[in-house]
Order: sequence, then C-alpha cells, then structure tokens
Amino acid sequence: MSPAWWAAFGPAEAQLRCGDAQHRLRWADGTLEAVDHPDAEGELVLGALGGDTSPCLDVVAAWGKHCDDLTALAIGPRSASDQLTIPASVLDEITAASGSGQAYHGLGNPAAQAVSVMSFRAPVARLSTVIAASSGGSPRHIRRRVAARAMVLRRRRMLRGHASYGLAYGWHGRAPLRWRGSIAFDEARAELIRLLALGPSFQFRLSAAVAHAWSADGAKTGRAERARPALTAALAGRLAPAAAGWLDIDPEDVEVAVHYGANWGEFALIKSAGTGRLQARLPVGWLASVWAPGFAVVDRHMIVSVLDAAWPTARVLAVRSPGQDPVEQTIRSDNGHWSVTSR
Amino acid sequence: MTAAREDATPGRERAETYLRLQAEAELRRALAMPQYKPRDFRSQRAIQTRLMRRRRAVLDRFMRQHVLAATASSQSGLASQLRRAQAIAALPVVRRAAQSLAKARTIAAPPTAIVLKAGTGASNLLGGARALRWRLWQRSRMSHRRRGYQSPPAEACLTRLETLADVFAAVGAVTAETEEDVVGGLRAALAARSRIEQHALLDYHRFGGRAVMSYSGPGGHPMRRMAGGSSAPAGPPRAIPVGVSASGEIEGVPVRFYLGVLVFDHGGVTLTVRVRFPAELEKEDDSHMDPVYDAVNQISAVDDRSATYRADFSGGGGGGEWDGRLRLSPAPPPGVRWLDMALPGAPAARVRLDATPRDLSITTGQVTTSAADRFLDAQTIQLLSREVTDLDWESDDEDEQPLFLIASHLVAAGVLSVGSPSLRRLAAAGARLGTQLPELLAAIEPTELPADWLSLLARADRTDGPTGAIPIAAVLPEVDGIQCIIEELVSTPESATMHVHARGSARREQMWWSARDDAGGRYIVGEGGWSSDDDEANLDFEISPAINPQARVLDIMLTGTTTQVTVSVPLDWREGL
Repeated sequence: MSPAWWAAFGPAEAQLRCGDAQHRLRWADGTLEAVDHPDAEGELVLGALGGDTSPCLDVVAAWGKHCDDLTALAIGPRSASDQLTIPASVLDEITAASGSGQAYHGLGNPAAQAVSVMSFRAPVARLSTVIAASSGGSPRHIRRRVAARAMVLRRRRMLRGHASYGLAYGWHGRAPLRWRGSIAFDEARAELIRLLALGPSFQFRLSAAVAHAWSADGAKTGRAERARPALTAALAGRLAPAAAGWLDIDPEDVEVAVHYGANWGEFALIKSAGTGRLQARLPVGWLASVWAPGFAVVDRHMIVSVLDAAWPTARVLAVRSPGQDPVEQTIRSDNGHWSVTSR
Repeated sequence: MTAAREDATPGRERAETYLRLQAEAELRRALAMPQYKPRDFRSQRAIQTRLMRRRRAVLDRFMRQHVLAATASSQSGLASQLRRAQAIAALPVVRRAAQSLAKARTIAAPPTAIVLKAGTGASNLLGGARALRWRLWQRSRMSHRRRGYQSPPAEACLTRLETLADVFAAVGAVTAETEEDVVGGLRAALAARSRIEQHALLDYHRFGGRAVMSYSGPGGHPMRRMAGGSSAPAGPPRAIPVGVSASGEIEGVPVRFYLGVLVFDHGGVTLTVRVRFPAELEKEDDSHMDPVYDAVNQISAVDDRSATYRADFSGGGGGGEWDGRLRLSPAPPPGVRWLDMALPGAPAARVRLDATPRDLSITTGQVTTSAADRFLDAQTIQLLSREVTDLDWESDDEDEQPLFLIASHLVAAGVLSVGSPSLRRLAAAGARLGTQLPELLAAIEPTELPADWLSLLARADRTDGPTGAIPIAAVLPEVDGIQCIIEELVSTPESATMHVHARGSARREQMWWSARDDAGGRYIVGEGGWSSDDDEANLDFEISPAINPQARVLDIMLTGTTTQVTVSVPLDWREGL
C-alpha cells in the first residue's frame, strides 16, 4: 500500500492578522487548521447565520475550495527556484474590493484579507465550499484601477483592429464594447492569490493537494481523463526543469505524457545529433508525492515513486538514467535539502 | 478555476494539450528574462519635465546670444571680434541645442516617414491603412521605449500565446473556455513571477451582468466570434430599403443627408443615416462640426397618424461626415405606413414602412471545408494582396512571417494535416512572395493558386470602383445561431463598405464573410468598425479591392461552422453621398 501523499511533507505554519490578534495557520498531515480557532465549525455556523467570520477561517475555507483547483497548478511554482511574489498592492486591491481593511501576514509576505460573506445553503461539512466574497462598496481607487484595466483591454483590442472605426471616428451613443453591470475580478482567482500569498511552503502543499485530487487515488480521478491536457501540462512544466538538471538536456527536449498504469511509469532517452530527447510517462500522483515535497532529483537520481514515508525520511524508487530499472533508496530531509542515507 | 474540458474529442484534446504545453514553454522563456520593474512614472515625468525645461533654457540662451551677437555686429566696428568671441562661447550651447533638435526630429519624423512608406508600399488604400497601423504600432512601441516606457519583455510571450489560443479557438480546435483558461493561467503565472505587470494576477470579468454579444479574436483574420448570450429573441427581424437623400443648410453650412435602410429588430426600429458637409469647413473652424453633430441628434419623425418619435443618433464621424443609426423612440407600432423624418435645415424625407423588401436571391448550403482551412485561406489571401497579416506575433526575427509560424503550430497540434489544400496554397503564396517556409512546412508541395485569388491580385491597385450606395436590406437565414441583416453596400473608387446588423448566438461561433462578382473577381471582406449592445451588434465590413465597375451582381457569402448563406446583390448603384 502506498503511503499518504502528504507523508513526505513536514508541518508548515503561517501567521496572519485576525481582528486585532496575530493568529497561526498550521498545515500538517494534509490538513490546514486555524490553530487559534478551536471551535471553527461553530464559528462557521455563526458566520453563516449572519455573524462575523474570521480571516483565519476564510483562508481555511478557501484552501478546502481550491485543493482540487487546476489553476493552482497553472500559476503555482514549477521548481524550488521558481519564486512567486504576490505584491501587497494586489492583496490590498482584493481586500479593498471586498470591503474590508483587515490585513494578514503569512510567512513574511505582506498580505491582506478580505472579509467574506458566508451563505448558509449547505450542511456544515460543506460550508468551506460556499464562501463567496462580498461584492459591495468598491472604493474609488478600485473603480479607477478597474476602469484603467478595461481601458488597457480596449486599447489592446483596438491595436488588433477590433475598434478601428471607433479609433478613427469615435463612436457616440454606444461604446464599442459595452460592459453590463460592474467589472470585478474573479473571486475564485482572488482567493487563490490569497492562498499563494501564504508563501512557498503553502504553495507547494497546495500544488500537491491539487495533484493528488486528480491522481488515481484522488477525489477527482473520475474526471481526470477530461482534464488530461491540463494535467499533462502541469506534469511537463515541472518535470522539464527537473529532468534538464538530471540529464543536462534542454527543458524543451522533454516530452511528457500522463501515465495511468499500476507501475511507476517510463523514461526513454532518444539521442540524435549530439542532443538527447527525453520521453517520459509519469502518473499525476508523482507531482504530489515526489515533486512537491522537493525530492524530484536526489543525488543525480530521478525519484519516480515513494514506497514509504514519514517525514523527514522516505523510502523511494530512483532511476539513475533513462532505460535503467529503478533502485530503492532511503532519503532524508535536512533543512529542506534531501539527501540519500542508504541504498 | 480550471474546468475539465467540455468536449473530449481526440482532436480537441491534442490541440488543447499542445496549447497548454506552449504556455509552459512560453513561461520557461519568460523565466529566462529579467523581472519587470515598472518605472515610477511620477518621478519619470518630473525628470522629463526638468529635462525639457533645461533644453528650453539652452535654446533660449542660444537664441538670446545669437540675437545679441547680430545686434552687436550691426552696431559696432568691433562687431566681428565680438561675434567671433560670442560664437566661440556659444559653441557648447549650439552643440547641445543641435542635439535637442535632433532628438525632437527623431520623435516627429518617423511617423511621416512611415506614412510615406505605407502610402507608397501598400497596394491599395485599405492595405495601406493596415500596413500603416501595424508599422505605427511597432513604431509607437519603439517610441515609447525612447521616451522611457518599456513594456515588459515577457509580454511578447503572452502575446504569442494569446494569438495562438485565439486562432485555435477560432478554428474550433479548442473551446472559448479553454482559450480563456490557458491564456489567463499564463498571464497570472507571469504576473506572479514579476515578468509582467503584477496586477494581471487578478482575473477581471464582468460582474453581476449576463454575457453579451461581443467580438474578440486575433485582429485581422476575417472570423469574429460571438461570446455567449441569449438566443435570438422570438420574431424574425425585418429590413426595408429606404435610400432617400435630402439637402439642407445648418448655420450656413451646406449639409446633405442620406437615409439608407430601416431595420426592425428586438422590438426596436433603427434607420441607417449618413450626413455629409464640406470637410474644409471643419478644418477652417472646428466649431462647424458641433452644429452638425448637434443637428444629427435633433432629428425626429412624425408618422401618418401624427404621432411623433425621437430619433437617437449613434455613430461616428469626422472629416465632413457622420455615419450611424437613428433609433426611433418609441418604436412605431404595427400599421404605421410611413414616417416623415424631420431633418434639421432640410426638407422632411419620407420613409415608407409598408414598402416591400427587395427580391434578392438567397441560397443556403452546407459547409464543406474545415474552419482551419478557411482560416488559413483567408489569411493567405490577405498575405498575398497586402503582404501583411494582422496576426499579433512578436519574435526576435522581424522577418519571420507570423502566418507561417501559426500554420506550423496548427500542423504540430494536429489541427491541420500536411496534406491540407490550404497549406499547399499557403506554400504557393510563400513561393510567390519569396518567403522561406518553416521547417515543418518546407516539404509541402505548392499548388496552383485559384484563379479568383489571382484576379484579386490583378485588381489590387485599382481605384476605379463605382461611387454610390445600395440599400440591400437582406435578412439572412440564421447561420449557426447568428442572424444577420446586410443593410447597405457603400462603394468608393478605392474600396467598399458593407453595413451589417447581427444578433443572437448562445455560444461562440465563427463567421466568415467573402464576396465574388459575376465578372470572376474575388474580394476580401475584413471587419472594420463595430458596436454592440445586449445581443445585437452593428458591424462594418471593408471590402477590397475596389468593386469592379463592370460587375453587375455581387455574391456575398456568410459561412458558419455548418451552414453557408449566399445573397446575390444586383449592383444598381444609387447616390449614397
């Protein structure tokens, strides 16, 4: 039996401002908890009935909502050196648009949290998925920014010839592009940005959660075939830099396909005219159990599967070079760096 | 949130996978670029202001000294000595002034050069305009850079993917949702890595309103897709040709009005209108334009039952002309036989509501070619006739023709096969233009270019088109969820414009317009201006080259994904202003 996808992850913590206090968010064993809210469920029910909700619980709810969101893989990190920075101004924009002024800080990243409105239309167990950000009361600077964004979009369309007549003559009476209602940014995207702002440890853990959800053991496995293009790209985007370091080849020379079999997958190196092209087949679960904990390549071996894990150690299958059979290794994390302890 | 694909057909899956892998490749390219740090434009502006003030001071000082020297030379016998001394003293100033003037010239001169280049290089007015727009856009980016603005280098990565995704969606290789998802994902990924403006992290959308008919897609290619909305409302639209004109005078300015076609749609009634007045008056005195515009907004109507109607103008103009539509408010009820349009400074023009529509031949058929082939053919024709396409594609090699690269991507994604006839025609166009084809297309055997394509090339420079208008008022059958009314055809010696009213569509569709005359000539029908409101849109299509004066009938074709409609229009030109 394969270990839990989170078994090779250590715990992670972030701090955020919740009301007047500085609270902790703790991720362990695949679950995010608001440590300073022992009665989270009760607070969620109160919030659903019209009471105040807390930024801590909003983040926890957003985590639950996005732990199968493929957009997290589209935006999230591709490697340990791939740094994401979420600027405070963007988080402020989210906060201001949601009508709250409360800010939070996670792992040193200045961040701001929007107060969300809970709508009670599902059992308590499902409350984490029914949070919707408030849409009312945008401050003036947000409107200006949104208008500026709309202008940028219009200008781009004009440059492409969409409104050339409008440019030349200036339509009156009707705008070339009419926006019905107000313009807002995507709430789901805003939530995801807030989660990514918690810092790199949480970015990798969220990516792992999403990858696991779409893997053979995940909740979304039934729909994984339909999401195959997105999963293939997620796999390719992360395997390519790892494989480039492993085999000293160009990341563009890495071809990836999603593997659905019972075994770990396959690597084949096709050499021609002094260059090598890697053809790889790996399961989506590789992203969750191998890549995200940070041991895709250890000691010039590509790790392809985890046999057993209890952070900070893991027993893995590792491939020395394409075409060779994998060998068992035991690896250990020391200050975030994985190294082989025994073969 | 990324949704699983709606359509799991193998072709779409391959194309979507290819597109998403391209997004990953573009992200890797962008990661090799430096992070984008937007300049503080307030301080930038202050620096510019200081710089300009200094240059002005330098110029003033130089001029003062020059005048002083000249005055002194005329007043004194020591003039030559003084002048020489001052000239020597002024030398550094002169040098700096000359530098300032040179800088000013580099900013002012290029557009002039571009205009000349475009004007001489382009085969016709429309092609010239497009070429000019493209060159101006490129130049403006360079000019922005010169003035301190630098767009993020990684923006090119995003632009390439946007164009590719647009094309894939337009030819039906991926859904519109996939297109938005892939492009939005890369945009956010680049923003999160500070490779483009970080505010792109947030995905803006319309909030609280339903989707409306809108047009998007890569500029220039003749397809435009309508984004989701409701289906067409019950009741077919109607159109009545009017084609009446009237002359008048507004504040001493002679004005001529032309009323084209009356359209009944969505329970509303609109009337196409054109107003002409001497353009030179506008140049001499800008105030002349406002009375005309104000007058257009004062048009009203009275019916045969003495009921009055307001006529709200929407449209645009300049250079002595205002073109647009008058929306009658309230809409005339059934049974009204005519309207007298009260035109400012001109006699009333009668518009008959009980006139019978024109008896036009409208035929419907099945589409036999693939959307990808149609796309490529349309682009190839454009490339042949104008030597440019409007595909937005930035690459390090400026000589690379975007269309060939796009075609390579279509082949690599399995959207087009190497045996596709459109690819062979593209290869023939490449051979004709002397363009080196990319590796993936190099083995494709060119084929003969169709005769009507060659006829288009032969007529490319002609400026002998008829002058006039035809109120067509053709209500076309619904084509894949879109219903169009061809309102008018307006011809000038250089080109022609077709005005279309469209409505409906519950999903994005492809619309291809093309035209052929009875003399064997083919025409490019490209989108010009448009406006939209709810699920209605008013579209202008530019027809080029100039319509053959010998032609008697023009077949206008609208091709959707499954259906093609052809309307044959007798070319009986009337005065159309």
